Amino acid sequence: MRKNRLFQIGIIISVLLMVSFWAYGQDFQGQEVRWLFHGSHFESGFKPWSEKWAAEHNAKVITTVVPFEDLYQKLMTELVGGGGDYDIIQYMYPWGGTVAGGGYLLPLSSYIDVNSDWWKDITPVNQKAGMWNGEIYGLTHDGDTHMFYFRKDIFENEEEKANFKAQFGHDLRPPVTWDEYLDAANFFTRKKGDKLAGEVLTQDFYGAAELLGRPNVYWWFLTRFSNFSVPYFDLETMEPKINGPEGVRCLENMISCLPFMPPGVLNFGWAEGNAAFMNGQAAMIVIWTDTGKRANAPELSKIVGKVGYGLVPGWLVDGKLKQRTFLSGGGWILGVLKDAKHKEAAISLIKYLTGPEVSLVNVTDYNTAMDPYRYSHIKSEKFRNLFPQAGEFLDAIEKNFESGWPELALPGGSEYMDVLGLYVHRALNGELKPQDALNAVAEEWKKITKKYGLEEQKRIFQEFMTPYLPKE
Amino acid sequence: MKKQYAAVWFVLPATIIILLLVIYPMVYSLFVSFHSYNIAISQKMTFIGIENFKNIFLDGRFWNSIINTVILVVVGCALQLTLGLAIALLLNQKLRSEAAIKVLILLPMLMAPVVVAQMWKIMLQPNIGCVNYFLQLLHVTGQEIEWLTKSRLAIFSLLLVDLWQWTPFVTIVTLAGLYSMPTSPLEAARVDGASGFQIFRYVSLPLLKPILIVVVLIRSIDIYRLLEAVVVMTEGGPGFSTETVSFYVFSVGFKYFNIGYAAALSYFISIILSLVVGFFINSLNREMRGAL
Repeated sequence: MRKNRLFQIGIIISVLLMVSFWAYGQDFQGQEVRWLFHGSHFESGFKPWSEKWAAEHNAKVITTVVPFEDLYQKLMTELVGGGGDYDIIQYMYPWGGTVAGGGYLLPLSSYIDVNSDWWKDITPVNQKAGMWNGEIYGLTHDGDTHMFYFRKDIFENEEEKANFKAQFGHDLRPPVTWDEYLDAANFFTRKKGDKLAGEVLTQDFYGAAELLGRPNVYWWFLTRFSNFSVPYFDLETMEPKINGPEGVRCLENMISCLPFMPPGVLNFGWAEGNAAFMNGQAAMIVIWTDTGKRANAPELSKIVGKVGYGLVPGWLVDGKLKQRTFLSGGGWILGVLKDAKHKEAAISLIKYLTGPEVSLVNVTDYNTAMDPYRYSHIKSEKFRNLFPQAGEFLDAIEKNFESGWPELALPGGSEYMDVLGLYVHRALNGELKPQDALNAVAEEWKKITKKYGLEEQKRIFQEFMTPYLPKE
Repeated sequence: MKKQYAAVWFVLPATIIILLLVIYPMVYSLFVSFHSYNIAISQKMTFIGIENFKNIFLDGRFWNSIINTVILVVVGCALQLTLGLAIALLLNQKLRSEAAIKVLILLPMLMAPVVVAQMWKIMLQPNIGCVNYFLQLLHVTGQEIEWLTKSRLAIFSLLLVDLWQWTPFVTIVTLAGLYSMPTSPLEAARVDGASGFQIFRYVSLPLLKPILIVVVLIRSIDIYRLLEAVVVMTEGGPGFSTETVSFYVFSVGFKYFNIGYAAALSYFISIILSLVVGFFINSLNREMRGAL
């Protein structure tokens, strides 16, 4: 009798435990999920949530945080070494050709219902960012695109407008073309003691800031080049198209803009570029979307409420405006390694972190550099009320996504881009003429393509590029 | 016979460790240098003979990095030696607060190179850095000097940082040499009526020469390996005006993952460096023989 009762109690406890595990989701008792990411501005977004997930799933999350500059080397050393140290890795879209195309990542299509609201809520460019060859390999946790920011207060100042018209013969407006950007940059560059929008400047003021330090300077070249919708290579021959007249026009524009940027701009990275704009030293900047929320955080910015948002400028070609926003970096993605020790747990964790609820908190947090990538972020009332111009900011992000042009994501993608950055930098430094610099890039690109295998690179490039080409 | 075996057993552990940790990687990297091997595309090693070594002679970027490195080594060593020796001679004068000054002088050496590079990068920022601020305050310049984005200034800035961090090393080693110097030649020179400069030029300096050769040798090898400051401060820019040999080999190996070529470059540089080291060792031997 007593034994029977004990048996019944045991059954009840087991059922209760099973129900509670079911209610909580899967249990990963004692499993250690290890992941590698670059920490500068993601750690504060990842840490509390991964700890919460671990507590809910009886698991443990062990993170390795490295600086951005070291992530690719660390990642590749891990992948080719087959170390098995990590379950989850963080990578950028352009590395997809190497990490997903190289067969290092676990295909996720069988774990994700592409007809679900969960998946459809992700904007198409950010769905594509985690895909390779039609297969899902990763989930975006930070939606990256370039965006144009300007100082609304000075662009709307009547006195400035009148002076601009007198000087340039056309109305002052937030630039729609890179030629207008150059004029505006030239116009707003002033010395300490000069007047700007009726106020005496206490420091030098510059027309624009860009992140022109090596190795990332190539992003600001491509942010101009992408507007032409010229693919990086000829789709049939893989002959580089970077050194055509469009490329030269872009590089010439960059060089012309240099005198209107802060001193030291050729060494600017993310921190310096953001600081120049948010400290009120520059009238315009093209940068990623996290700057929008940060520029409106009083503890981080001196230009709260003074920022306007728009599409990245384009080019006038035969009187027609060509405008495509460069999806610079194309987003940060979480993927699960094919040889991960705890695959199910790792998938559960990345789905949790990139799901609508957790990600909304992260993209609205000033302290993370995580940017919107779901429609629910863009439409969120919480986000739209975060600061007075948040609605305008989110609408601009959506528009930039719609016209997105991708960064090159071939195997060896970072090698192609490093070479581009090197020669663009040499041209900006006055060592080479724009055409010579881009010809050198083209020659180097041919060598890289040959090294990785012309036919295979062509096949991958065609698959990658075709969806983005303009429909004739 | 037994004694001989005992000796073998004593030497064996150290030999195995050396073989595993030093000799094997060296032999393996030499083997890799004759292959095409790119790990970014999971490429199998393909034997290509001396192709990688032939490519070195056509690689303009590599030769540019050699020139930059030679500039850094020659100018850097000359400046550090001059300044380090001058400070050591000053400290040898039995100053007040000598101990405190020595501790202060040692501080830069104790810092991690990456921290030093980051600190100087901030200090050299044209508009917010303290270097330009003080130069403007003292009316040395009215402009914001772009230390890290003008080719010549950028390489000078790297020299400056290395000078700041490693001159103390030259000072301390030279000072040790001055302390251990025999006093009789100096006293004899004084008795003969030699001036301070003459004592330094004809007595102290020749006695210090072996130490100075070792200092120059160590600093040359260190500057040749300069990497952290380049990565943090300039990333090899502007253009590739501050790319050093170490930075370039690092890029080839760990950015482009062209392991075969990186191994060939490393071997090529090792040969050059061995010649330089051989020259210094010969000079040192000559000095030692002369001293005896």
